[in-house]
Amino acid sequence: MIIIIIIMKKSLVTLFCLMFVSAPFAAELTVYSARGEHLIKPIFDQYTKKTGTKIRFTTGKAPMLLQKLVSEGKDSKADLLITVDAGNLWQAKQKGLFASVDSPILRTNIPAHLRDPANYWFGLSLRARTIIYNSTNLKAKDLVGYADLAEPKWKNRLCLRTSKKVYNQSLVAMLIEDHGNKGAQKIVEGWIKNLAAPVFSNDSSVINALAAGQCDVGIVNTYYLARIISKNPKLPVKIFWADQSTTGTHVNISGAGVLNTSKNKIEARKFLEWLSSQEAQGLFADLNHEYPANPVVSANSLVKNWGVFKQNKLNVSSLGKKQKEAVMLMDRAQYK
Amino acid sequence: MLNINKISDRFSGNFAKKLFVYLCVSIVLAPLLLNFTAFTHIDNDIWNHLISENILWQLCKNSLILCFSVALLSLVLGVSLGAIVAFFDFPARKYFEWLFIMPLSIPAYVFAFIYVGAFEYSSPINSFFHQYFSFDLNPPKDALYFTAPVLALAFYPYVYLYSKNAFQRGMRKPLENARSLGLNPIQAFFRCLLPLARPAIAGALLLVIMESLADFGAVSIFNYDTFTTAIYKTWFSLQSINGAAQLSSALSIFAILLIYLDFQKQNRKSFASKSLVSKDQRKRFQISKFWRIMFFVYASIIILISFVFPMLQLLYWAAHHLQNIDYRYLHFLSQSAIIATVAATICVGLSFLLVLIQVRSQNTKHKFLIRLSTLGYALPGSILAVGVYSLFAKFHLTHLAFTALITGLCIRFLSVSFNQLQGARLQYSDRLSEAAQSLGKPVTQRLGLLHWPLLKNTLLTAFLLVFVDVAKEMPITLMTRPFGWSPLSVRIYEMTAEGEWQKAALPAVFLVLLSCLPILFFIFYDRKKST
Amino acid sequence: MSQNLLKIENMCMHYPQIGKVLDNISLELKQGEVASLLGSSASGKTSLLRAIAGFEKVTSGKIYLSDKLVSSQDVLLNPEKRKVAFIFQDYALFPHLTVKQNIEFSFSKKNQMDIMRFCKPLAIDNILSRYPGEISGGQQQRVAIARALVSKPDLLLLDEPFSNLDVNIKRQLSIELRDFFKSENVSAVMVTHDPNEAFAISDWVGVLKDKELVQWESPYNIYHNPKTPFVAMLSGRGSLISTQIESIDFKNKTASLNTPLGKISGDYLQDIDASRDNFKLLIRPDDLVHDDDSSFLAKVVNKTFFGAYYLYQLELKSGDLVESYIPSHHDHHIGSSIGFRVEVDHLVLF
Repeated sequence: MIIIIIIMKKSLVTLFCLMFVSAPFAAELTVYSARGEHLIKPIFDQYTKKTGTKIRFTTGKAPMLLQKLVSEGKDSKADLLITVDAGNLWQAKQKGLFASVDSPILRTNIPAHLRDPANYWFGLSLRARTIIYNSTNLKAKDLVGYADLAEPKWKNRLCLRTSKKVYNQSLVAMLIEDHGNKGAQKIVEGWIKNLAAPVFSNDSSVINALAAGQCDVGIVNTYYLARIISKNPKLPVKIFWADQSTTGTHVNISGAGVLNTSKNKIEARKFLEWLSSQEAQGLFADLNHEYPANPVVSANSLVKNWGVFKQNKLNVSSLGKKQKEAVMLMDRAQYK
Repeated sequence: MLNINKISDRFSGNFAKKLFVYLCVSIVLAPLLLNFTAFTHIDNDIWNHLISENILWQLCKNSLILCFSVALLSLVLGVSLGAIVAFFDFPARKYFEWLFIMPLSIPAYVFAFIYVGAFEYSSPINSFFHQYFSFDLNPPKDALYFTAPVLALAFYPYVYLYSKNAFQRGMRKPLENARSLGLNPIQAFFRCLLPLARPAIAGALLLVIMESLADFGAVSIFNYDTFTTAIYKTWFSLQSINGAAQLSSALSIFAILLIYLDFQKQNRKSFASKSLVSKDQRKRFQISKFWRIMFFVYASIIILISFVFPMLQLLYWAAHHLQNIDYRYLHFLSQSAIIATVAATICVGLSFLLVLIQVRSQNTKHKFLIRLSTLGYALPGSILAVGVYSLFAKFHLTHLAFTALITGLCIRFLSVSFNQLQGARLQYSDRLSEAAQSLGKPVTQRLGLLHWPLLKNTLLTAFLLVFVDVAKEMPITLMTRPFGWSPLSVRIYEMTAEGEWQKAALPAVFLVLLSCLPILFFIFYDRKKST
Repeated sequence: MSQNLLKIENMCMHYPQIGKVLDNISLELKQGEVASLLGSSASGKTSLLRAIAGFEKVTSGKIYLSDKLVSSQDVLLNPEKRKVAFIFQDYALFPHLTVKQNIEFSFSKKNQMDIMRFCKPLAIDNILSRYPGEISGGQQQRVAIARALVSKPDLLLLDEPFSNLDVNIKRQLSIELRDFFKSENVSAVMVTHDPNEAFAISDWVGVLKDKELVQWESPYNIYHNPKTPFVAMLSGRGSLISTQIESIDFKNKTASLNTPLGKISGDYLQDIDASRDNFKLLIRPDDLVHDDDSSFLAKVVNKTFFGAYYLYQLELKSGDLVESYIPSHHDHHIGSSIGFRVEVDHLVLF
């Protein structure tokens, strides 16, 4: 009880100061992150320990962070924006929020298809959105890729997440790039015909449904499966890398860029470069069972065990470009 | 010889009142009006898409059906529970009285993921059923049949609280009169009491409808598409904040319409009740043993599904993540507590003044304008957050994060305290104010000597409701909070953002505990008063 | 220096939704005088009272309290500054305060007094610790009065103060109040729909009809010299019979009339328009006295027992109906003809 009162008193004092405090101390970075606190704080702490630069940050939903930056304009105190999904990074660039960073280090560390062609933003971790299957009912050789799941043989055997989540929108954006609008629409319509149950609101539910036998195949992000398997290794759900013989598996990134309005661009750039380095990449990806964007660094063992796979080399910035079209396409195909 | 009193005498009080009202209303309406400015730029392709694919029409229908269903269910649950708690004695009645408020401490979308998790194919409950009974407890195909009941479970406490208070505020005389006229209890209830409690219940229903309309988290989890999900889709997915703002304006207009209808009805019926309130209103009616058991069973079932089961599920999940508790949780808890306390105090204080001004105002337009100050509820949380933030940004005040946070929260929740206080204020007539005036007391003294004692109880319940609502609010808190502030609602969000629902259980449990504090305080105060 | 406590000049009042409620009201009241406002419901009596108190705005005209302008088109002095105490129809006692706290409500650091000065005469000194919900209507009434008086107002306003009380209590309380007001030199304006109450208490009676103040005079004049038939009927029982003027002396203000009751002569007070040939004469029940010796007969068509007297309704040969008070030990049958004598003191002609 007393502890609570003490903390409340401390917080009250801080709150009073917070009402008026504006500028951060020297050698401090301000980061807006759409990536959750538990996924970024360890990395920030490590950087602070190494360089002494303090990092203050706030988290939020990507579109809201973008809007926040747009509202703040020149008043903004933020130096870096970290988001999840390339589409969000593309949108931030469209809104003119990023500053171009000419850095050989970043160019070396991050593969070309995982960063903005004009150096406005850089992917830091990679996730694949690929096919999972119930290993008791199916074998890997039964599967081919995304388009194949639209075939009638999969009727009543497919589980999907809602079209409202940006990951699926990016997936369909990739399909549009690879198959054109008509082709992509046919694929999506085929998927809908094959659904075993109404679409789920998250990937974990899809995995659980598969495990329980409600369906045989699904499409999820790799790290969800990794999370669940790390708790429950005996789960009869296996991963299948889609389209290995053709275009490759759909990948997406979590990435960052230096903000135009930053007053600390040099510090920010240094931090970004550090994030792309071997030192940071492991931890960054590992916190969420993702793949490091830097190909030199290997992922954690669980994820590594799934093996190497061919990534779809489409530049992820096009995921943002085609996002609107993808959403409209999914609406037309009745993909809820 | 003739002393002419300056116009200042007439206007000094009135001018201050007017200024105050205009200030409050403009701050509330500013984010909404900002939305309307979005109409300068129209994304034709998006509107074409929304209209041509029949999406908008379908979504409007969905939203209306959802609101109506949730309102109906909440009405039935809330009024019935409020009535049995107010009028009858049954086992554990005094515990139930407060337990029914507890579901308010759980955010609607937490209810959603608890229930979706409980009934999905792979859940323990469902697995049990289809293993041993070959019966698939699959959630209904039409998401409405899942969404509406769960939302009703989350929102009925509003209706319960408002109607219970209305019933307890001296309904005994009308009930006795009705009985003496030969009506049996059920007739007496429906023909006498319910109409008298109508303003209070209508206020609560308005809240429930607005909450259902503006809800995004819960309906997303159920995958039930509404007008509000379209707003977010237009913003997040179709990348048009303008489109989203335009859609939100439509939502606000609908909300204004609802408020206007309720206002009209309320204005016509003036409950010029007697100035006297009988002290003897807490005595309850005796009923047969059969009914006592029936009521107990009914109350228990509702509490089980609306609070006990969700809590057990949360505790179960939280128990598996106890290693996550560290000293930081005390920070999260105290931050939530501070925000909630400050916001609730300001909300209740502002509503107190606004209600008093509104009730005494002779000008219908003014009365309606003041009522409009409750519009903050009509916007989806994120849209309001953006609106408030843009407002602060326009004045280059974005560094005043805490102030922006409290402003956004007050705009959103003014309605909660306003509606309650208005209902209570209308229970006593203007004559009391006038009597105090004619006895020489100026407005400041009347506040303290007359209105504060008469409204004290309601002020406390209003504080309680706003506190709990603010504590579980997420979008505004997420967007405007100062650096380093991570209240419990934000913690919950961070876990659910990546689908880690079970991790979210721990902060959710703390949130419920936090909400218990004001409720406990209120129970204690209430008990002390009645002894 | 005038002694007017209250002066109203050509006051008009509008309510936004309803329209005009008072038109061209003018009256004066001196310190220590008690006035009543009579009239049917919705005649604007309460609105007038509320305007004096400052609860309502005045559309045009002026209201002065102790020669200070308090209400006009541009001016509205707040009620709390007027030293005018208002007693509401439903008493408006504060339910959360005891009787004692209610009465002492107007106290401030500078303004206190010994409340027993009023509580004893009003017989409420034994209920001081009770709450308003626990006492009777009559007691609540008296608490409201005490509360108002304790605030040491210049003027007391009472809105139908007796309407919620039993007839017996009403009668007793009005007489007590009158004596009380006189002994304390209280100035008051009271609204009532009961002329008897008004006559019993007041120095002045104002009759309101259709938003206008028709007559503002002493109770005696209201009864004996009503300005309009409405006032006449309001202030007491009476009948109007058709009459023609036989002869008239404008200088001395006397006239001789041809009426269904025979020839009647006397003084009159009104202004007579000689060009008219048809008038109505007011005949009150006390103007007709039963006289067995009189040759003038009328048929009894109805009679109502009032304890000490009967009120007979009589039909004249002309067909007119008049009324008369007959001591109740006389008991004539309905249908019988009885003799009458006309004892009209002065003529009231309309």
